Amino acid sequence: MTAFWFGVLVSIATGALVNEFCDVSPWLADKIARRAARLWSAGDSALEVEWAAVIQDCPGKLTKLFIALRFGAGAASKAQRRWLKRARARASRKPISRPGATRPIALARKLVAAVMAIIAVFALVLGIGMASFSVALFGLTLLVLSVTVGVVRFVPRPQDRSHS
Amino acid sequence: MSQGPVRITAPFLDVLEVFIAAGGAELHGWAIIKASHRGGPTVYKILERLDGMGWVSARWDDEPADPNKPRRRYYKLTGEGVTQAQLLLARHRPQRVPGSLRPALGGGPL
Repeated sequence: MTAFWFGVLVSIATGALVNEFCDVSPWLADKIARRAARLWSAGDSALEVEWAAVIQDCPGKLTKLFIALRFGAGAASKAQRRWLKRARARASRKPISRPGATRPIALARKLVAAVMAIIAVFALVLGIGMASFSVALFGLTLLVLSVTVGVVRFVPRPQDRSHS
Repeated sequence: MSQGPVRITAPFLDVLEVFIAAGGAELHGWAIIKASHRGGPTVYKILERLDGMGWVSARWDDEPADPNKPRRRYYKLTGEGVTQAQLLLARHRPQRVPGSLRPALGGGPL
């Protein structure tokens, strides 16, 4: 009996949700189309009105939403191509690395080495204080590792690569 | 100064066919999308190209039926556009004879 009433409730709720979604979809379609037009034309309000009119002319409620989503996908694709083109142009203008400048990877390496060294010293002191051989050994190993990370250059710099 | 199309694709020819079939009538965006059976972004990309080549002219709907609705924009082939479109269609799709689709398209005034 409980399952029966549960089924009735679920069907009523599902119906109400679908109905609500159908009513909301034209409004949503209008919003998507306007946003897509802005994305497509990089802020041209005339195209926004035009695409909103296209969505208005389109029959049906869910069809409006599908058409708007298609506009959205097209506009996103165009915006992405525009962004990639700009990024490529920027990259071709800017030198990859200035001689003498600290690269982000080098900075990250130094930071990791410093953190490892702090933990290593802490473990070493703790190991000696507690007379625990394993903790002290761990600290010593980590200290050696941190020095290695801080000193050894794993990835050659671009200027080193061009010389070799 | 107009220039020829850079790429002649199937959707490009479809849109030209719709304009030729409309027989000089002005068409709004949804009418072109519906008649060409192409997606909105595809049609608008082609309209931008046609506009850049000077093959189409566009105007806003001055007297919309419902002032609360967004205004439509009507497109029409220019004189040169008609000539070039007919030449292109004759070369690429000689077997198709476009009939008048104007009533179905809901085109604007001539």
